Amino acid sequence: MGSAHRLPVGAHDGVRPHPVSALDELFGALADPTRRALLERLMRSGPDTATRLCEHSQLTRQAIVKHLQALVDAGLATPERHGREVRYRATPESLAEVVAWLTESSSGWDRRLARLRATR
Amino acid sequence: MEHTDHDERQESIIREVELDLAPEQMWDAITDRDQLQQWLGETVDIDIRPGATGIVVDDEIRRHVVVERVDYGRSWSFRWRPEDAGTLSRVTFEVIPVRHGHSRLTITETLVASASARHQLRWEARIACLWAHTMAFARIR
Repeated sequence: MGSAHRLPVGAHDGVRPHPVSALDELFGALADPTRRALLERLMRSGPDTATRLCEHSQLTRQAIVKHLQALVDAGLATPERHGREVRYRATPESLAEVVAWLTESSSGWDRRLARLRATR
Repeated sequence: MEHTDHDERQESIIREVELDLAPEQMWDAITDRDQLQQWLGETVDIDIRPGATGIVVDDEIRRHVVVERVDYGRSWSFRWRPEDAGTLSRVTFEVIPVRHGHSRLTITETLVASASARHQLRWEARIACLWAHTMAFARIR
């Protein structure tokens, strides 16, 4: 199992017409209800293995592993080796960056529009 | 003069401001460099034509700008990205005539992602809840 590959939402160099792949992966991962449920479970119950997660699901272990990998690719989870087992830990910090963007952008426009009104 | 916030499109931030400016004057306010420097940022260096690149410095944050579309007298849009944070977004300014001598400016800012991911951005509200959730649990532990 490879090491967690973290994708900060902002990791992008230059203003380009291309998609922000980190964002695509982040929202792609969250667009699937199974993955949201898996992430929420990891967030509530702490790190867990694919096998144990499988016990609480209708899905096959193989399907669970696939969804977990999508979460890992999106930077939302990270695999950790404990002896013979691999436990997945939720790392939802990347969500905070999106929320932070929304907050900062909103307050930025409030500030700018206040200045625009003041010029009148 | 009034100012309203919209939340209909959750993936975007929308701001509207109505001013006692004729549409032509509003257009100048959102395109003329000297006027832009009174409100958009302390330094605004943008040549408003499609494909042009520029700089906006606001609140000590320097943003690289690429002009996308210009519909002269009505609207223009650009992508911008803060130098440090790196989140790419698209901003559209649109002038709407309201009544004689008045017009409304609508500003829309959207996180840039590919078309396939765009509809997923509507998860934003749920994501915020999910995040609040995590924080709550983090405090309990």
